[in-house]
Amino acid sequence: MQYLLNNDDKKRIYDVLADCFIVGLKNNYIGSFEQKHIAKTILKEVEQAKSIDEVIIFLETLSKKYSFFNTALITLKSDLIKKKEEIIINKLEQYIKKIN
Amino acid sequence: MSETVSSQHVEPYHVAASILGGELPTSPSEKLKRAEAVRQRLGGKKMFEAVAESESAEPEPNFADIDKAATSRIKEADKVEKRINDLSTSSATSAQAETTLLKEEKNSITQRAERLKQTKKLLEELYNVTSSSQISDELVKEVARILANTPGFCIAVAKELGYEDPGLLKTLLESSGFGRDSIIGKIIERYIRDERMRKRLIKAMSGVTYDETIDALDGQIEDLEERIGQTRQKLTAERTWCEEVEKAYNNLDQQVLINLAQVAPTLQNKKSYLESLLSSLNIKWYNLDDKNQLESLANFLRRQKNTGYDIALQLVSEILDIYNRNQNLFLPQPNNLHQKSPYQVYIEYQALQQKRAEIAAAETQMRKDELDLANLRQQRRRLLESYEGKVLRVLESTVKGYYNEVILGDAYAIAQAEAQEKEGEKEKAETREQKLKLLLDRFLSLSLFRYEGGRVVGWDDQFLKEAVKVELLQRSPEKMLEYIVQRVIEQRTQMPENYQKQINSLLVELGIGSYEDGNFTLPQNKTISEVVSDFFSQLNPNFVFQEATIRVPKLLGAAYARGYWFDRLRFSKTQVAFLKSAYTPEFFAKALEGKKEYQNLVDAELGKGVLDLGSELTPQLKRVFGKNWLEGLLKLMKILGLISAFGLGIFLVKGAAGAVSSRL
Repeated sequence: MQYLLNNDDKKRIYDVLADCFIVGLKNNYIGSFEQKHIAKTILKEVEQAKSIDEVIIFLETLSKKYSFFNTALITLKSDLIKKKEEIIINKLEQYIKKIN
Repeated sequence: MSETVSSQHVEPYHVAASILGGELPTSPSEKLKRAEAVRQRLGGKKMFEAVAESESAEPEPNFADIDKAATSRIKEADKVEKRINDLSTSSATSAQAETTLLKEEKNSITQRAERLKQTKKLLEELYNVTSSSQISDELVKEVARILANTPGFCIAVAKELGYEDPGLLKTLLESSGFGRDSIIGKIIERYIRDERMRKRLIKAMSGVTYDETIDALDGQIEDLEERIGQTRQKLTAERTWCEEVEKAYNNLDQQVLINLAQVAPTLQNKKSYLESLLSSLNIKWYNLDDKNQLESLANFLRRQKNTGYDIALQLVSEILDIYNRNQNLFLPQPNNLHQKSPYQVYIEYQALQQKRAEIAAAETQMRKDELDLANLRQQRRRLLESYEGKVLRVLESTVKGYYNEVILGDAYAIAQAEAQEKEGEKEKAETREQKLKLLLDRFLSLSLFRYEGGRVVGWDDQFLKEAVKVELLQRSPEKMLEYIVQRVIEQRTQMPENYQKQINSLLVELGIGSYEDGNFTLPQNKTISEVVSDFFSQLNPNFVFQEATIRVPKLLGAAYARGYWFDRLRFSKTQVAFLKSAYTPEFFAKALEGKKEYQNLVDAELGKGVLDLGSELTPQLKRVFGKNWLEGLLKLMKILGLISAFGLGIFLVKGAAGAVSSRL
């Protein structure tokens, strides 16, 4: 089952990633050259992503290189599980209504 | 920045601290502040967009031009290779030597091209390095080699890395004899990843510009080379032609030559006239050297009725007549390489001088072209070598710039921080010294008394006796001062409450004690002696000694005032030696002065006349040594030293050194 991203979801993804990025900046984990590179990569990947799964695959690669993105990975994975649960519950509710 | 800090010199150990200690913590950058502000106000996406565009103004180094220069060199090497190949077919004796020179030239050019390509690879790697990218061994080795030859680097860091001789470290770095996981390997890797290194690379590359004139010169050189090549080929062919014509002419029979001299000019004139006539009649397609064609032409002209054609027909007939009458002059000669007729040879020979003049003119032009080519090559070489030199120096100037501006900058910051710390410590120490003086000024004397219920009841004779009989003989002046401070601290609990509070307050200011829940406490798990010893270890030794020269004589003076003095004491020779080495005579001279002070003090505290013991000593001294009893005391010290030197064992000092007798 695949949940497709809407604008609000993307805003949430950008914000979560931005918070991790700021942690990286504060701790001098990334030089200015890399900052630009990472920012461009994030903009490209998130913009192209249609599903949260795609974002998570990208984040898994990114956090291998830059561990400060791990928090974003965990947060967004948790979001994904919640969304999936919501879809299942909604479907169940509709099914129950039909039966009744 | 204080004066002390600004005048602070950077010592090798500061540089070592900078090299080994990594970067100094930096304050949040403007970029971070901006990123946070954009994130808060406009959200994550806008923040990434701002970061992605933030560095667009940064100049991107032009590495592609290095490739261009390398390609230009490779082409140059190919041309040299071609010249070598051309020479391989030559039988000239100079060809061998020229080939050797050209091979050397080709090797040199190829090496330059390779160095350019390798340098470009390293520079690109340094420019693109990230915190997670792999760094090649080549880059680490090159940076190590540059650092090895950076003045001051090896000297600063050698000892810290376990090399007594900086030269050994230099050799190690130059020969890449270190592991990537070694400390120096890690340090170099850290430098390579440092953003500040990258910035210096960009700056260094901005000064390296490829002169487009090189490309224009390459074009001009190629054109000229082609032209010279073509001319050379043409001249070779023409020279051969001239030789052949001359040879064929010389082979002609003498009678044939005489006949040709008669026939050829007439024939030439007629043909020339006929040609112009045919041209005016618009007849162009006949070869007048071909007899068959002349006959066809004659038939054609016969069919025409006009005047011009009659004249042409007349001329054709005359030419044919010449051909028919002198057939041997127009038949190809079998001994001639090109099967030319004597007439052809004769005509060509007539043109030989003209041809030779043309060849000479072409040779002159070619020599001029060759000169121009040499000049163009020289210009190109100068420009290319200038560019190559700059490219090859980029890495070195980047690393050295990094060392001078970043490593030494950090070292200077460390030196400054150290100077500031010292300044602070000095101020703190000065405050401590003043407080200690205050403590001793106020409470040294008061600590020498016995108290009951917070009131003075008399001298603490036991303490004074022990101070002179035991402690003085085993403590240096500095340790005696510690002993005095320890006494003040211990004795404070016996003193009136007001004094106790004042001492506690001073001890807190000195950092010896503290208040907990409003109650004064000394450090736990330590004796007072240990606490005092710790405190003294933080003080300036000069100050401690100077203070000891003031306070110890006061203690001795008090003891003296109470009758505890050398005239009542026995010394071993070791004790004598110790006293002589540890104390100067001034200590004892001051002690004698101190006695009077204490007498007055005691008089004031306890009432006059209570303490008179030992007061007879000064008159005794004066009696023995005269008015200058201080001098006598110095003699005492001398005697003490002498007796000690002769090893006389235990001796007794009587009447303040008036009589010294030894007891073996």
